[in-house]
Amino acid sequence: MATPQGLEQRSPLRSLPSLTDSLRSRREALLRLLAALAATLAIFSALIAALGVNPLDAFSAYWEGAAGNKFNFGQTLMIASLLACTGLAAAIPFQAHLWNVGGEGQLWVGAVAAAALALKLPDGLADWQAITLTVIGATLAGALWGFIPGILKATAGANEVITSLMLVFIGIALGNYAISTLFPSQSNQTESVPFDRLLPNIWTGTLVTAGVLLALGAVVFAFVLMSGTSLGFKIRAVGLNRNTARISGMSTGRVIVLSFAIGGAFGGLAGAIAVLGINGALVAGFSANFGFLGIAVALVARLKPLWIIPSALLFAGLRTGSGGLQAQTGISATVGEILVTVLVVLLLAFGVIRLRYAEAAQ
Amino acid sequence: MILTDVFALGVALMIPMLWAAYGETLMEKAGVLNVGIEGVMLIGAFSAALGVEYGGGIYAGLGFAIVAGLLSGIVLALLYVRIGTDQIVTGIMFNIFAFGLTTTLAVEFVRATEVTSFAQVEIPALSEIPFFGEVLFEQNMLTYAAFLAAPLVFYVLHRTWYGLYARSSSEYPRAAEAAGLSVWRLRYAAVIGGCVLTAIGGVALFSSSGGFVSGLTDGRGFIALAIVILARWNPYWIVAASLLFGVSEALQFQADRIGPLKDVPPDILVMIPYVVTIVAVVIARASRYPPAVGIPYKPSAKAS
Amino acid sequence: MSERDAIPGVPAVATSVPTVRMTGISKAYGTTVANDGVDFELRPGEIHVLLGENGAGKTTLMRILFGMAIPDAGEVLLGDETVSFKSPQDALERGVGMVHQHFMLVQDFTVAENVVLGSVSAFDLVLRRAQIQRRVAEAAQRFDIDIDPGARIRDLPIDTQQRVEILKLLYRGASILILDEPTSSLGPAQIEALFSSLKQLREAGHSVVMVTHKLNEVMELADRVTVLKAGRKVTTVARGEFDERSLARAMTGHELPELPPPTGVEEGREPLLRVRDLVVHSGARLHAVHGVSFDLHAGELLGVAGVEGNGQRELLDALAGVVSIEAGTVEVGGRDVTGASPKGLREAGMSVIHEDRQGWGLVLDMSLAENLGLADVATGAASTYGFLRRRRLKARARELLEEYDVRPANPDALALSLSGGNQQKVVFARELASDPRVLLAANPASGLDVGAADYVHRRLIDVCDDGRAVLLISHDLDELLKLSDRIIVLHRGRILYEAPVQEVSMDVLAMAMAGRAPSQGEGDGAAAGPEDG
Repeated sequence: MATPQGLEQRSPLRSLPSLTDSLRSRREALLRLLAALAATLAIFSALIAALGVNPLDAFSAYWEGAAGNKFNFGQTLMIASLLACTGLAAAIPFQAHLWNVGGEGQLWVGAVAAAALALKLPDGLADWQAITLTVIGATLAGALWGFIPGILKATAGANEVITSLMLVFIGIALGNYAISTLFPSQSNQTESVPFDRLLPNIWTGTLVTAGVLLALGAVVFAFVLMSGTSLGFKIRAVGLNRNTARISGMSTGRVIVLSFAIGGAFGGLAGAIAVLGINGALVAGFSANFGFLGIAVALVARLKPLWIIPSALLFAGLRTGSGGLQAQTGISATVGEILVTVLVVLLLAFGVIRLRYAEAAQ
Repeated sequence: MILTDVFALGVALMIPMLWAAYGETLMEKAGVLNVGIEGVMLIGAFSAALGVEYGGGIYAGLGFAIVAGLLSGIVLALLYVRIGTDQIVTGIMFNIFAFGLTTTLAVEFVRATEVTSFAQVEIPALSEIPFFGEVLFEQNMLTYAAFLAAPLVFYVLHRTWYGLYARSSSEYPRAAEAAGLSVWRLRYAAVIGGCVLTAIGGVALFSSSGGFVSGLTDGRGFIALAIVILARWNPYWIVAASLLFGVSEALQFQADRIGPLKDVPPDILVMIPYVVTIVAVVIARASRYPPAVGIPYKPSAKAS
Repeated sequence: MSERDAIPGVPAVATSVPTVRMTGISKAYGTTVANDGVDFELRPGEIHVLLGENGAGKTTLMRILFGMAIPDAGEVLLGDETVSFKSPQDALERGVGMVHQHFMLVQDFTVAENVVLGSVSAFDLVLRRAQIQRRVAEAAQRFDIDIDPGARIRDLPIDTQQRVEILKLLYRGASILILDEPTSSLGPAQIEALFSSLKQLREAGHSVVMVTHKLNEVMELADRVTVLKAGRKVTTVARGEFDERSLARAMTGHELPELPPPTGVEEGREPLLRVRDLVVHSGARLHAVHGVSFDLHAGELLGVAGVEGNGQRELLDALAGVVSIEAGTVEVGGRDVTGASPKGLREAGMSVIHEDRQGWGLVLDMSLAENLGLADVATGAASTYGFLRRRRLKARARELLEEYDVRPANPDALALSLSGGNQQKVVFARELASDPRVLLAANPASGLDVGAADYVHRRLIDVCDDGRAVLLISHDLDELLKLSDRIIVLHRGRILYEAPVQEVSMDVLAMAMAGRAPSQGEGDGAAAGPEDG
C-alpha cells in the first residue's frame, strides 16, 4: 500500500511502560539530568581555565553576581521578568508546533513602542494612565510583530522560521532608528523617559520595579489561557496533530494567527518591561539575546506556563552571574551565553528536555 | 555608472550567502535543516580573522575556517543525526553559542589592525566587456570559485551515487534504509561537508567586510536559508537568488547616488535585504521542504 | 561496471537457495509481546504463507528476518550458518529481500532510480542516468516484469509500484522474498497477476514468504502455512492438510457468529447525501475525482470499491471538507455544503471516520476525554465565554466510554495507550455522538483484529438501522459485500460500475476495478481508458 511517505516513521507498536518501568525511567531521567549538568560544568570549567581563571573562582563570582546580595538578586529578578515574557513568547506558539523564533524582534518592537508612547503621550494624562497605555501599546506592537509571520504562514504557507527571523533584524533596525533619529539623546540610547512615567520601584534597596508584577501577570494569563480556555485547547490540538484538529472542525488558520499574535504580545510586553522597568529608555544593544534565550527558557519549562517561572529565574541567574564574572575576573560576560547554550544543548542531547513531536511526521 | 557599481558591489556581497546556501543545500538534500547556519558562518569568519592574525594571511584564514567548519560540522552532525535532537532549537542554540564564543575569544585573541581581504583579480579580456566585465570579472578568487562551484554542487547532487542516496534520505529515509543504505552516514557526510562550505562563506564575509566584529553575520545565514527554499535546491537558481539579496544589500551603500533612496535614513536602508527576503518567501508559496527534512531519523533496528 | 553490480551473472533460475530457520524468536516492545518463542522454517523453492490476525506478530517476525528489528531471544539460520542481521543491508547481502506493506519507494524518483538505490557503493562516484535505465530495463526483461524504467513512481498505479518493489529485490539478487500483506489494496485482477508472478518465481527456484490475514489467499497459493496467534506459533501445515475452516479456527481460536443481513433501504425520501459531478484535484495529479455522482438515502450503506489510488482518498477528503472541490455539488440533508469547511459539514450532519485513525482520527498525545471532546470544542459547545468546561467534557467522556465499551474506560488515559480496536471505538464514539445524518468511513477495520473488526462492522450496520446513511470506502471486497446495500466501483476517479449488492456480478466487478467498464454484453468490454491491470 502506498501511504504518504514519512507516515511509516511512527513506530509500529506503542505501549506505555509498566509501573516499575516508569520508576526505573524516573531514576534514569534523574541520572540523565545529572549527566547533562556535569558535562556542562566540565566544558565550562575547561573554557574558563583556558582563559586563565580558576573555575572555582568563576563559580563563586557567578553566585555572587546572581544572588550574592539583595541588589544583585533584584537584578536577577528583573532579568527573569524579561525572560519569562520572552519565554512565553516562544512557548505558546511552540505548543501549536509553530516556531516563533522572532521573540527578539517582538521584544525590540515592543521596546520602541514603549519608548515612543512614554515620551510622546500628552502631559495631561495621569501617570498611571500613561503607564497603562504605554504597556498596552507595547504589547500590541509586539502582537503585530507576531501577527505578521502568523498570517503569512496561514495564508501563504510562508516558512515562519525565516519570516520571524527576518523580522528580528527589521525590529532591531527600527530600534536603532528610534535611537539615532526619532528620539535622539547624547548617549547611545533614546531620550530618557520622565521618571513619573516609569514603572515604580517595589523593593527598596534594589532596582526591582513593578515589571516583575507584569511578568507574573503574564504567566498567570498564559496558564489560564492554555489550561482553561478553548483557544488554549485548540492551540494544543493543532500542535499535537494538525490534521485531526482540522477534520474535527477547528480552524487551523485562525489558531496559527492567534497563537503567533499572542506570542508576539508577550514579546512586546518584555520590551515594555525593559524600557519602563529596567533601563528607563531604549538603550542600544540592550538585549543580550533575551529573545532567543526565551526559546531556551520555554524548552526547559517544557512549554508549560507555570514552569516558566523557575526556568526564567535559572537563566536570569546565569546571566547576572556572568556579569559578576566579568566584574571579578575581567572575562567578557558573553561567556555566559556559551554556558547557557551548552547547557540547553546538553539537556536536549541527554533527552532531559525534548519536544514531543520531534518524532512524529507532519 | 550607478548600475554597474551597485551590481559589482552586489556580486561581492552575495558571495558569503552563496557559499552558505551551497552548504545548506547539501544538508537539506540529505534531510537535515541547519538553522545554526548563522553560527557556522560566524565561526568561519572568526577563524579567518585568527588565520590572518596568527597564520600569516588570508589564505591561512581560509585554512583555519575550513578546519573550524569541519569541527562545527562534526559537532552538529552528532547532535542532529546521531543523538537526534530537535534541529530547529539546536540550531538556534548553536547560533547563540557561536556568538558568545566568537565574541569572547575575539576580545582576547583578535586585535584588528589592518584591513585584510582577498586580492582582487582582474580577468584579462573578459573584464573589458561593458557592464558585465566590471561586475563579474573584477572580483577575487573566492568569488570566482563560488561561481564555479555551482555546477559542481549540481553534479554532486544529481550525477553521483552519493547524491542519489542522500536525496532519498531527505525524501523517504525508511526506504533508503530498506534498500540497504545507512541514512546516518549519508547525513554525516552532508552536514560536515555543508558546514565546511558555510564556513568558507564566513571567510568571504570577513574578506568583504575587511575585518571581524562581534555578530558580523547579522542574519546573512538566515537569508541563505531563504535562498535555498526559493531556489528549490537548484544551485543555479541559488546563484540568482543570492544575487538578488546581494544587490539589495548593496543598495544601502550606494543609496546616496540613487534618487528615491537618497533621503532615506541609513537605519531604514539596512532593512531592505530582510524585507526582500520576506516578500520573496511569501511569493514563492509552493515551496515545501522534502518530507523528511528536519526530522531526526532512527534506524529500524535501533528503534526497537 | 563496478564489482558490486548485482546483475551480471545472476541466473534467471536461482540456485543454492538456503533453508531459512528461525528458532525460538522472542521480541517485545515495552510491555507488548510481539513474538513469543516462534519457530519458522522456509524451505527452498516453496511459497510459505504466514497467516494470522492483525497484531499476531507476523510483520515483526519478518522484520527480524530482514534486519529491521533485533530479536530479544532466538536464532536465525541460513542453511547451516547462524546469521544476525543488524540492518537491511546485511539481509540484502545474503539474498533476503522484503516488500513492505507500505511501499518503500521514493515517489519523486524514477523506477530505475528506486531499483538501483543502494546497489552500488556511494563512493562509486559517477551515476549515468542512461546507463542505469538500460540496466534496469535489461533486468526487467530478464525477470519478465513489464515496466518503464523512466517513469516516475508517483505516476504509476499501485500494482505497477508493487512490481517495482519486486524488481528491486530481484535486481539485488534476492532469492528469498518476503511480501507483507501484498494484496491489501489490490483488486481481484491485480491479485491474480501478482499470484501468477509469485508462482513464476517459485518455479525459478526462489523461496517466498507471504504474510497475510486473508484465508482465501492461503488456499490458492500456499505450499505450506504457518499460523501465528497472539505472538505464538499455533501450527505449520502443508498443502492438503488444511482447509479454510481449520485455519480460521487456528487463527482466531473461535468462530464468529454471522452478521445480520442489512435491513432494507427507505426509498422515496430525499437523499441524505447527494453528490453531483464532483471533481477534485490532487497535488501532482489533476482530476483525482473526475465527475462522480451518487445519492445516499437514509438507512442505506453505499460501498465504494476500487484499487487504492483511484480517487477514494480524495473523495473522502473532499466530502470531509479537508480538500477543495473544483467542480460539482455536495448536498447534505438537502442543504448545499459544497466547499464548506469541516466545521460547516459537521453542522450539516456529516461525520467522518478517516482511514488513518492515528493521523486524522485521534490526537494520540491527548487524553480520551480530550479526544472525545474535539468536535465539541471546535463548535464551541464545550465552552462558555471561551472558558473550557472540563468537568462537562470529562463527564460526557465517561458516558461515551461506557456506552462504547472502551477499555480501559479511563477518561484521563492517553489515546496512544489504547489498542487499535479501542482507539477505533473512541473515534466511532466521537463521530456518532454528534448525531450525524451521514457517516463517511474509510477502511474502518484496517489493522484491527477479527474481534475489533467485527465490532466495527456491527456498529456500521447499527448506524444504518438508526436511519442514517453510511458511505463506506474500503479495499476489502469481503467487507463491502458483507455490509453494503449498493456498491460502486471507482476507477481513475470515475464510477465504472454500480449495482445493488444482490445483483453484483463478481466478474464484472473485478473488471471494473481493473479499468474495464461493463458493456451491454460480455465479450471484450469497452474500456473507459487504457487499462492498467
